[in-house]
Order: sequence, then structure tokens, then C-alpha cells
Amino acid sequence: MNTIYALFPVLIIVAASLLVMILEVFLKREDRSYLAYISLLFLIAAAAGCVKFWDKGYSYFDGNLSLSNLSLFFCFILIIATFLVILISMKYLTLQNANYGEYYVLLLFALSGMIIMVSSSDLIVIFLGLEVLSLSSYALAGLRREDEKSNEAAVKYFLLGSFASAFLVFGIAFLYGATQATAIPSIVEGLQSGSSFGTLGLVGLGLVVIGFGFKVAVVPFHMWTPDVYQGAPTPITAFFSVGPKAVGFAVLLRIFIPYFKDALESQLMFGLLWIIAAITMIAGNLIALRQTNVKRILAYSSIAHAGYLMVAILAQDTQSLVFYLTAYLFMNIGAFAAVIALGKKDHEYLELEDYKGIGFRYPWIGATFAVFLISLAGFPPTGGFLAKFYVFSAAVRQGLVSLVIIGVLASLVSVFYYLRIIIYMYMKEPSYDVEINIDNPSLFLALFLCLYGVLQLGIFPGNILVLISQAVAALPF
Amino acid sequence: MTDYFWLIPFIPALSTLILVLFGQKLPKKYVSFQACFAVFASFAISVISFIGLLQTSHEHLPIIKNLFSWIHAGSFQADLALQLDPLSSIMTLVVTGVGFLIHVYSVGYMADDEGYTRYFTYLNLFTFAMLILVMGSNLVVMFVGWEGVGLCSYLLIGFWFDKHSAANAGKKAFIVNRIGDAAFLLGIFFIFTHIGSGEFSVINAAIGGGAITQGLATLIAILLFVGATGKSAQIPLYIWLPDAMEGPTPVSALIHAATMVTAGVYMVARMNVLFTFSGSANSLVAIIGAVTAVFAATMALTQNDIKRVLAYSTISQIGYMFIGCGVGAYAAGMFHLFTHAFFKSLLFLAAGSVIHALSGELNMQKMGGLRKYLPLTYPTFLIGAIAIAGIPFLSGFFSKDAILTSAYANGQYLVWALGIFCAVLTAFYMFRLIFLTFFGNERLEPEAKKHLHESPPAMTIPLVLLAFFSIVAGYVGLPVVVGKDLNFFGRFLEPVIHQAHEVHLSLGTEWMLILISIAVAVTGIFIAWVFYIKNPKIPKNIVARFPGLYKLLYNKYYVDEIYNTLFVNSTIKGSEIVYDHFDLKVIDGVVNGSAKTTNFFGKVLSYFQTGYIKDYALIFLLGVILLLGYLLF
Repeated sequence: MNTIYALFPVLIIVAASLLVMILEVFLKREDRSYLAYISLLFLIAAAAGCVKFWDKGYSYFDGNLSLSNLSLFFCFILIIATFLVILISMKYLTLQNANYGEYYVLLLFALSGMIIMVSSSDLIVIFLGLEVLSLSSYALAGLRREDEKSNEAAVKYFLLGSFASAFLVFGIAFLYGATQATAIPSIVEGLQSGSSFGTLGLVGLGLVVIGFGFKVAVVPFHMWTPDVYQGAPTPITAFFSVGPKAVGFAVLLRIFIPYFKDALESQLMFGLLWIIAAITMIAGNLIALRQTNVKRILAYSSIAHAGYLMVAILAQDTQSLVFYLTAYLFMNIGAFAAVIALGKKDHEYLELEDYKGIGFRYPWIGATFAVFLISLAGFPPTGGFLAKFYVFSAAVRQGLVSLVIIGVLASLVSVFYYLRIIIYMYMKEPSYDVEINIDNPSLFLALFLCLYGVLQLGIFPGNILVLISQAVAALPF
Repeated sequence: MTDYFWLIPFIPALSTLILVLFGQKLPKKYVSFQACFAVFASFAISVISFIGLLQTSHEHLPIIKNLFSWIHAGSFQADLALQLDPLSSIMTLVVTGVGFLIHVYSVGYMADDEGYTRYFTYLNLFTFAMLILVMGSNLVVMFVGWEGVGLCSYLLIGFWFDKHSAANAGKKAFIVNRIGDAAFLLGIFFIFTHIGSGEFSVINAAIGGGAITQGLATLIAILLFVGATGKSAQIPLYIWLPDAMEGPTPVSALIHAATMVTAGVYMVARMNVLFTFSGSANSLVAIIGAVTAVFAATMALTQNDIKRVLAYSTISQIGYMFIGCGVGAYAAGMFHLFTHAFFKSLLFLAAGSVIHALSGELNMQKMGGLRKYLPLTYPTFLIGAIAIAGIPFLSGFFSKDAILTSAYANGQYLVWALGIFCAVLTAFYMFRLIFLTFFGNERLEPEAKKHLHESPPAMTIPLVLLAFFSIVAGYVGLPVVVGKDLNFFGRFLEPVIHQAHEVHLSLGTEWMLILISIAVAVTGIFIAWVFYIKNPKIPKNIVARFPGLYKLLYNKYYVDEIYNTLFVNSTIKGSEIVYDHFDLKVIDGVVNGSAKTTNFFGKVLSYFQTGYIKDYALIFLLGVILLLGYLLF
């Protein structure tokens, strides 16, 4: 149905960011936490909108923005992700001297960009959303102005990000040249009908893969990830590791799952993504073994997870992909939340050495962190186990046996470095005192919510799976 | 009477939860009471369910309790469902029965340990996971238990984690197990892909209906069996079990002797239709089992650490169980699992009692003559040793004989011969252990001698009970020579074990086989007696005569070292190569190699002076070129 309601989620988020921007001027520095509360309220409203529009199929701008169930589901998890990120940021910002009002503004703008991306099937509109997301992200990465690493992260992200965006636009232009369309369904149809511009279309698709491959951080477009993740403020790292990855895969799945239906025509692209998935899983996990900085470990781990998600695209199984993303959201934000919990005024504990004996000193933080790590490593009864199980079994069903063997072996390697953190937390005597700021209720709420999410998805995933299958059923193709 | 069987795993689970949440605040006495009681309650329900099962007719088997639908989406379905059938019933009896005795024993053994509550929490958690493993009605639930016991085993091996070796041993066990698990998981994927369900009943029916080809069945069976070699410590993944002895001794008895390590045998028995259908996978199981049995037994010959001897002996005995499964005599394999649970946990607990008496001494060269100091430990230890050596009228004799007879009857003469050879070795190293520990002159450390004492009743009562079962457990499965239809164990398992063909030997042959196995057991003991009592110089002479062989055995064939070089170091090396050369150096190479590009980017980017951005952009570009090159050419 063509109705302006389709704009509701985007509009409410934009309205929130504008409101926060204005209010910031009038608020004293120590009252800035009100901005967070306002943002949270608006996020809840937007999430309620997503729930209300379920099964309604609203669209606007001639269908350029359309809230299919799948879009709504993505919107919903992105809103949850932002919600959790705000919860883990509140205290962090004051502690790390980064309590700028534009923090929330930029975060909300980034979210609005992501919502545009997941609710459109036109590459131009998607690009628009991507740029909204990207520009906000660059600024967010450099938010700790006095910190060299943070500045470095912002510049790196900006330069390489623009690089990737350029390839993406280039790719969209090629695709338009080949198929005279910018809407994904028409592009896919055009490519499959075997027009005379086959090569042109192929190159276009390749360039689009590069553009999004950068966002989701697959090898070899991953080089920025560790540095940016390490330099950015930790809650923003959590945001980067989840948000852009989710939208990137949301777009890739819209393009490639219908495209792969025609196995003969898509053979080359399939092979390409196969290679990318394989090297991403291998390289991501292998390099992570060598890291001693927890944020860098999690950065390489998120690269490896992009590889597993790529396997889901190749398995052409939307359901397992979406489930994986949902589980990944909770466990990854949870892991970063635990890292943030180990911080005090002007200092964060990020080296493995710092984690010695944490499990006994701070039993709750240690235990929840351990659960998230176990989930990332793919152990039952957590969501991470089920997600991996689901993706790999779908892949085997598609006959991708060798890729699954690579994936299973790569995730075997991953156990080493996840376990290493747990070993440090529980099996080593601390060599010095780690003082942390315990007075952080919103962070603990976030930790709890993530823990709940990970266990709910691992033990009682039934309802969410039903929801996802509804979302997938309403796919526009 | 079987209505409440699904409660069996959840009582220990509830107990774990209480201990996790409130354990630190509860008094020690209450903690141990609750932990023991939870397992006892499970045991009681297991017994009731077992009796109920005896009265249930075969058509109603298995009894399935669907707790809730776990994953229901599209073609992928798995319920959280538990099942009760003869196989799972026997396993629950073993797990909760032996488990209960070990819990009680732990009350005495761990009395002075700081991590008392933590210990019982893990132990209850383990019991829960193990029960889920054996009661799951589909592969996914089984896998959850499978991973769960792995995790608990890791926690308990590394229980004394301030000991460096313990922490490392835990890690090793965990990672080696993960390798097996990866293969197991792949096997499950294949089953889901080709059969569409993980329910055991559906799988069995589908295989019977010809849903998969024999080749595929072999592939799946081998993948599953690789999983079993990890969990049950068989070649090539056995290396973690000896190191696992770093954990507390009751843990070694429960997890690394009686229950968890036999999970692989249980799994193969559970999937017997698949293995039988494949045929060649079965032969592989038998051969791996036989080779492991002998291989591990030879390593046990030279060890001086009392627990490590028992660890190698466990690997070797599980090899027997796999021989049973591999030659199609699943019931015999399960029977050996059943009897082994008693005598091996008895041996471990008795060894624990010795260690306890000697204030932690593990080296048998520093024991000797303990017979008179440990009046209860000694006879029970001896009973365990006789049972495992295969002397008639004790449990180990009957089960081992059942396996070897089946191997012979199925024409697997090589496997049979290996089994017989292993029996000599077993009798020898067990009595070497007995003679070194309890006989001969005292070689105690003076400090240890001062505190020498028999263990408290909490420890000796379980020993006596286990000794009793080690004697009588064999009588539920008597061989044909004693009388027809006396093999209750085998008949009880019939609804689960689908016998393809049974070969009957003449009574004369059966007698001959039995006499041979008695003869070899006695020979082994006799040699041990000559070596260690009659003429203690012989071992030293042999070592002097064959130093190379001794060194090879003593160093466990250098398998650990080989694995380290081949796999561990190469993974670390690979990580280094990828990180240093790919992420750091290759880029430099590209930078030097393409001066023009560097200049171009250098001009633009040097302004920011980050040093690395240009490299990142270049690798990006390299990726683009490779990608487009792939697409276009």
C-alpha cells in the first residue's frame, strides 16, 4: 500500500536527531544524559512502529521505500542494536571525556541511513542511505578528539570508505548501463535474461561486491577494520561491528539470492563469493590468533563472522542469514559491553594481560563475557551455536561441502583465541590490580539484555524463527 | 512407571543452578548433600524407569518425551526431546549410579579443597550434560550434550588451574575434542541434508528404506566415528586423555573412565544401523579399536605415574569396546562399557585413595609395600585389577570374552589376535601396578610415610560398593557355554541393536576361545610376578638391553611431539605468515614493485602521515584488480 506511513521509522529517527541537536545547545554538560534518554524514547517509538507495520506492506515514493516484513525485521534489529549501543555509551562518554551531544545525533543519523538502506530495493536510494551512514560513521570514529588513535581511525575510515563508495557508484553505473535499471529486481532480471551486455553487468556486480565488501569487512577489503575498531570509541566499535555489517548483508542478500537462482548464469559470481567467503574465514581467524589487544581480537573475529555470513548468502538461505545476524548482534555487542565494563576514568583495559583473574574479581562481568565468547565460538546452548549450525547445515544442503569444511575448521581455529580470553580471565593470577568503575547501571542493563538475547536465541529460538520465516516469506522476489 | 523419566537430567541441572546462584553463601555440608542427593534422585528415577521399561512391550519403544519444539523452521526441524529405550536406560543407570558413588567419594577426597563448591557445581553440571547426551532423541540434542560434557571436562581438568600443567591439559583436551566435534558436526549436516531429520528413529527407518547409498553411509559413519575418536580418546585423537589426569582423581574416575570417554561407544551403538549398513565403516571401527587397544597398552607398560597407567588402560579398554561395535557385536561393546564403568572407576578411586594416603604422591617408584597400611584400599584395588585382567568369574572376563568371541566368530582373526595380545599386556601392566604399589619393599618418601593413613569412610564405602559391582556386574550377560539365554544384557538391548546376522560357533570353539583368554590373562600376571616380585632385576636388564624401545615407549612414541610440529606449530606459523607477510609485508612488496602507483598515492596520502593508509588502499586495489581479473578472464 502506498502511504506516507512507510516513512515513519526514518522520520522519527531523523526527528529525534534534530531534536537532540537543538536540545544540546540548551543543556549543561553534566545534563547531557537527558539526550540519551530522549534518543532511547524515540528508538522505542520507532521500534513500536516497526511492530505495528508488520504484514502491512506499506511503501512510498513509488515503491522506492517499502516496508516489507524483511525490511521491518532488519529495521527492528538495527534499532535494537542502536538502543544497546546507547546504553553502553552513557557512562563511557563521561568516563572517557567524550561526552559531546553530537554523539547521539550522529548515531541516530547513522541509524536513519541504515533504515533507508534496508527498506529500499533501488541501488540509488541504497547508496543514499549508505552515504548518510558512512559520513556519520567517519565522524563517530574520530569522536575522541584528543586521542591520536581515534583521529587516525577517522581518517583511515574516511579515506578508504570514500574509496569503496567510489567503486560502488561505479558499479551501479555499470549495472545501469547493462540493464537500464537501478532497482534490484529489474537488474537481476536483466542480468538473467542474458542481454548482450553480459560482461558489463558482471563488472558492475563485481564493483558492487567491492563496495559492500568493504562495509561488511571481507578479505581483501578488510584492512581498515582492526585499526578503525581499535581507534574508535569502544561503543562505536560495537556499533560498527554490527550495524554496517547487517545492512551490507541485507543488500547483498537482495541482490545475490535471487541472482543465484539461475545457477548457470551466475556461475562466475558464485565462484567469486565462494573464494571471498573461504579466504575471509581463513584469514580472519588465523590473524586473530596473533593479537593481544582485545579490541583487535574482536575486530578480526568480526571479519571471520563476515565470512560465515557470506556462506549463508552462498547457501541462498535468507532465513539462516537473518538468524545469524540477529544472534551476532547480541553476542558481539555483549562482548564489547563487557570490554567497556572494564574501564575507569580516562582508562580502558584492552590488553589481554589486563584480563588476568577478572573472572574472580568481577564474577558477573567475567561470566557474561565468557558466555558471549562461547557464543561467538559457536558452543551450545547459545545463539551463536544455533546460528552457525543453521548456516552450515543450509550450506551442506546446497552442496557446498568443501566450503563448510573450511568453515568448520576455521571456526575450530577461532576457539583458540576466544578461549584464550577466558583462560586469562579464569586461569591466570592477576599481576596487578584492575580498578573499574562499577557504578554503571545502563551498561549492566545492556549486558543483561544481550545475555538474554544470546540464551533466548540458543535455547528457545522458536518464536524468532517463526518471525524470520514470515519476514522471508514476504520477500519481494 | 516411565512417566517421569524426563526428570532424570533436570534434577542435577536444578542443583547446578542453585549452586551457581547461591553456592558461595551455602555451608559446605549443605553443598555436598545437595549435589549428592540430586544425583541420587536421578539414579532413583533411572531405576524406576528401568523397571518400567522392562514391563513395556517392544512395540512401544522408544518412549519419547517432547519437551518443546526447539528449532522449527522450514525443512530444518529439531525438538528438544528425550527418549527412554534400553540403550539410554543402561547409560542413565551407569551415569547416575557410578556418578552418585563418585559424588560421595568426592565429599571425602575434596574435603579440604578451596574450590569445594565450584567442584560440585561442575560435577552436577557434567552429570546434566552427560544425561542429555545419552537421552537425547535426536542428533542435535545429543550434540548439545556432547559439547556440554566437553566443556565440563575442560573445566574439571583445569580445576587446579594455578598449576600450569593443569591449565594446559584442560586446553589440550578441549581443542583436541573440538577437532573430533567438527567432524561429528559435518556428519550431522550430511544426515540432515540427505535424510532431513536428526531423530534416531527416522534415521534408522530412512536407512532401512534406502534413503542413502552405501558410499554416503560410509562417509557419514566415518565422520561420526572421527567425532567418537575425539571424545573416546582413540587413535588419532587420544593424546588428550593422559594429560587429563591433571584433574582431581574422582573426576578422572567419573569423566575420564566411566562416562564421558565412553560416549563415543554409545554414539556408535546408537547409530548401529548406519554403521552396519555401511559395512566398511564398521571394519574401520574394529581396526582402529584393535590397534588403539594394543598401542595404548604398550604405552601403559613403562609409565610410572599411577594415574597415567590407568589412563592408557582406559584408552586401551575403550579400544575393546570399539572392537565389539566394529565386528557388529554392539551389545557386547555396550556390555564392556557397562562393566568397565565399575571396575575402572573402582581402580581410579582406589588409586585416588592411595594418592590421598601418600599426600599426593603419584609416582609408583616411590610406593611399595602399602598392602598393610591400606587394609581396605588394597583388596578393592586388587578386585579391580583382577576384573580388568580378565580372570574368570569377575565382570571384565565376561564382557571382554563376549567381544573377542564375536570378533572370532565374524572371521576378524587379525582383530581377535590383537585383542588377545592386548589382554596379555593388560594383565601385565595392571599387576605391575599392583606389585609396585602394594608389594615389595617400601620406597616411600619419609614425609609421606609420616601421614600415611587409610582413607575416611566417605571414600572407602564407594570403593567397597564398586568392588562388589565389579564382581557381579558380569553375571547379567553370561556366555553361551554356561547356558542358553543367560545373556540378559544382550536380550535387553535387542530392540535397539539391529543384528544383521549372528554367527554361531560350536560349543567346542567357544570353550577353546575362553580357555585361550584365561591362559593369556594368567600368563600376563605371571610375567608381572616374575618381573616385579620374583626377580626385580629383569625389568632393568631389559631396559638396558633395548634402550631404544624403552625410550620410544616411555616417551609415548613421540606422538605429542609429532602432533605439535605438524599441527600446532604449523597453525601458529600459518597465522604468522598471514599476518606478517600478507597483512604487513606483501603490501610493502607491492608498494616497492609499483613505484608509480605508490607515488601517486603517496602524494595524496602522505599529507596525512599515517604511514599505512596507502598500503591499505593498495591492498584494496589489488583486491579489486584480482576480483575483476577473475570475472573478466
